[in-house]
Amino acid sequence: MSGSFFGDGFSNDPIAREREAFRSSANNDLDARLESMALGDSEFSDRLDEDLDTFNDETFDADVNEIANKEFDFFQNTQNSQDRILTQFPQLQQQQREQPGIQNNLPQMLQKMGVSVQAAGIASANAVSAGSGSQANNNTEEPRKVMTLAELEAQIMQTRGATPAQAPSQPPPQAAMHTICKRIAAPEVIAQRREERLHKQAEMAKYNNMMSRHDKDYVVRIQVSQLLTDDPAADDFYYHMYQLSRGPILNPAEVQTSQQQQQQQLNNTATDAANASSVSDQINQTQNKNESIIGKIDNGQAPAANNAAKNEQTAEQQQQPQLHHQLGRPFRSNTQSSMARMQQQVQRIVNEARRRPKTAHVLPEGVLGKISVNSARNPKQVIQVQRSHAGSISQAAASDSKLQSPSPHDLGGIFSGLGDARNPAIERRKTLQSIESVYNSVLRLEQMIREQVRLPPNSDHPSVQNWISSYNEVKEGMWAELDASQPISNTYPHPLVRFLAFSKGKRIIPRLVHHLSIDQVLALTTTIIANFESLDVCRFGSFSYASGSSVGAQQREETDLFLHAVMPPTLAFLSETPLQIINGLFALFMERNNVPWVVRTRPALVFLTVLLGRSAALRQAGSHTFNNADKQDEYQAAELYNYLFNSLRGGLCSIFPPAPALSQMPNPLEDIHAWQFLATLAIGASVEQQHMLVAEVREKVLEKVQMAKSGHLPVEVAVALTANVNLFLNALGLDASQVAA
Amino acid sequence: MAEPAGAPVSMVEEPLDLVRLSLDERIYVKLRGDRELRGRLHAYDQHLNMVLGDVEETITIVDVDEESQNQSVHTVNRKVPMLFVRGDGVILVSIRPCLYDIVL
Repeated sequence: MSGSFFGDGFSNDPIAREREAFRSSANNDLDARLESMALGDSEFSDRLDEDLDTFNDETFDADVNEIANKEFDFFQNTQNSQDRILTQFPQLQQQQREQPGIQNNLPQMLQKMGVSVQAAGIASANAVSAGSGSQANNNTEEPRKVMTLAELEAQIMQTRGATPAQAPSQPPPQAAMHTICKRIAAPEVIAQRREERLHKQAEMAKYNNMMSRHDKDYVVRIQVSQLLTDDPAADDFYYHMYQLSRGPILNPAEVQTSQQQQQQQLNNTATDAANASSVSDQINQTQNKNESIIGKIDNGQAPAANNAAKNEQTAEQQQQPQLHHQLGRPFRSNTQSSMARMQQQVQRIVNEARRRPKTAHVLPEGVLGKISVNSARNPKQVIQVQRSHAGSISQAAASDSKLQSPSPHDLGGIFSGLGDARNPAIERRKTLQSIESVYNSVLRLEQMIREQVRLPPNSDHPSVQNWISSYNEVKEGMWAELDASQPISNTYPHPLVRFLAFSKGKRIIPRLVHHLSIDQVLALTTTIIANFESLDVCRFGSFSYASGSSVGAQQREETDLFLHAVMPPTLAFLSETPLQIINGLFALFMERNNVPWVVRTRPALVFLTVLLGRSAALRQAGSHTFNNADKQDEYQAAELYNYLFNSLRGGLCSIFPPAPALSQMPNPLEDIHAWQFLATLAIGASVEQQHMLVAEVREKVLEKVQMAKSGHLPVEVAVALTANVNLFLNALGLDASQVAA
Repeated sequence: MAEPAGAPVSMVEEPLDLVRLSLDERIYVKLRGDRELRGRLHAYDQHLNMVLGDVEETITIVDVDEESQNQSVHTVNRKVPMLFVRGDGVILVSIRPCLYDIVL
């Protein structure tokens, strides 16, 4: 292994020599010298006009020979000084005897605890002969065996139980002894472990010293230069999001522990980008973020109390960071100091680099012009093509096509079917574009929310005003793009319906409603209800469709996505609106949609269930008031209910999904929506209506109950099936067990 | 490309924007080496490096019989759940027709 990674520095090459000279001058340590001396080259020894040890006396400012030849007897010296001290201060001797050192008096202590000292394998004849205390155990004939920790402890417990009188005085030393006993393993085990450790170290050390300190510094400098950043949130977005998503904030107690975790993880991994340079920044940011999140949760705790607690916590955290690596397990103690050292080193390098920013252009002496240095911050430029005027022809064409009214044609499921001939490809592309535009807006809004925490707290500040206005602007643009403010449009399908036909359109809805006002959410819900029939989940997802083919599978996915992404915000909104609006929406639903047909789809069932349920709850709650307007609402609600009931009569069995093939297991999750709907229907029903209900669905009920009781099914499935049926029956005041099998 | 007034989106319409519209959709990609991919586009960049999910790759092989000089074509299929494609080898990207082409 001659030479360093960067080439043989000891060649006839003048450049290499120069480099070597530079290297050795940059770090005046022993590395280079040792290497050269080991290799016996003349390069460096030429430069040393001394023999190896000539200057030693000067260096150490003493007579080196005298020091070097001196023999040191450390043990004896210590013993002498100890004796001297003891003779001077006899009371210390007394103390020494009373509180003996562990090594000296282990046998004594063990004896006090009642353990047979010989059996414990302690080799010190003195203590044993000094008396065996209360222990009648005479195992002198037995060969001295080495006891395991368990045996030791067993013996101790035994004697403790046998001599309770001695117990009170002994607990503290016994407790101490426990820990001491734990450390003492059998000597052979100790030796074996030591040998293993040494072996492992030797293995690992086989490849040591390949890189000099300069090489290591070089590599570290490259890596750390990437850590420099002004805006850690933007530069390391994904790490940030990962941290946030890993620590879902549930309550203030958890906030503090998750903050601890975040801080630990921020503090630790030295290779993590953005941490080394802006640790404190990030800590503040995450704290603020968590603060804002706490504000949203609103547990009723005073924010001042929260802050105070947090500040305390962080203060002591900063003093004593408990280091955990990414798996969450704590580091051993020696790793702690080395991590701290690495951190300090990184910090030092970062500060150095900050002090001397690298320029993007290099201007060597005597050279005409600049040489540009490409790096991540200064990438190669790309030619930008201006689009504003060059697209004039295409713009004219686009405005022409706008005049023609669009209509769907085949190609693309949602655009198939009725209507005049239009270019479906253009329609599809327009919808996709509006989806992308909405995504852009949502991303911008989310970024602005993240920036909001950095704004000054007082709302008079101009930057806050700017933020508010730009936020609103983006929000309005997004809302306009969504095109949900007009429930009825002259294009079929409605633009919002087309938007929701794509799964990515459905997926953005929950993130989107986060930024909308109540009115806008109402408008969104209204539009969805008004056009419910034409939603893709309704048109192609009803139960009468083929459920086995790939088309069916895809539709089920889309339906599930709709139920999980689009419905919850609207349902949440519905559960908080007054009866008047509920009535209006209900009426709209039934007016615009063919109820018996649409009720075959799961989304419609869920919608109706929530509407009905909310209406019934409000009616019940409001039955005490004598307000005329409220009475009117209730009356209207009752009317609407009757209308629904009548339109569903005779076709109630169609709300159930088709039965699975006989070979398949009946899935209780399938029809839970239907049973819930029936239950809600039953709640609001009058007696005759209830009779009618039962008459219609009795077949289904019997079938399910029979299936559950038949015993062919696993227990959980049967239980679930019965529970579902009970949803309905309980609303009527019945129970599944009452049904005659 | 009609846009409602007040939309904040940029109007730059370049070919890569069309690829953007196909995100999360099933697409058809033709690669060098007589290969074709059909999968769901999860990510792409300016080099047309792509991340595709649920991919089915079709390799077309032409066997030439040495003695009889007959050419026979057969294809090899394989399915990959998640795939990274280097943009170097991409010849074209196209939208697959929708799976459910139903006329009511």
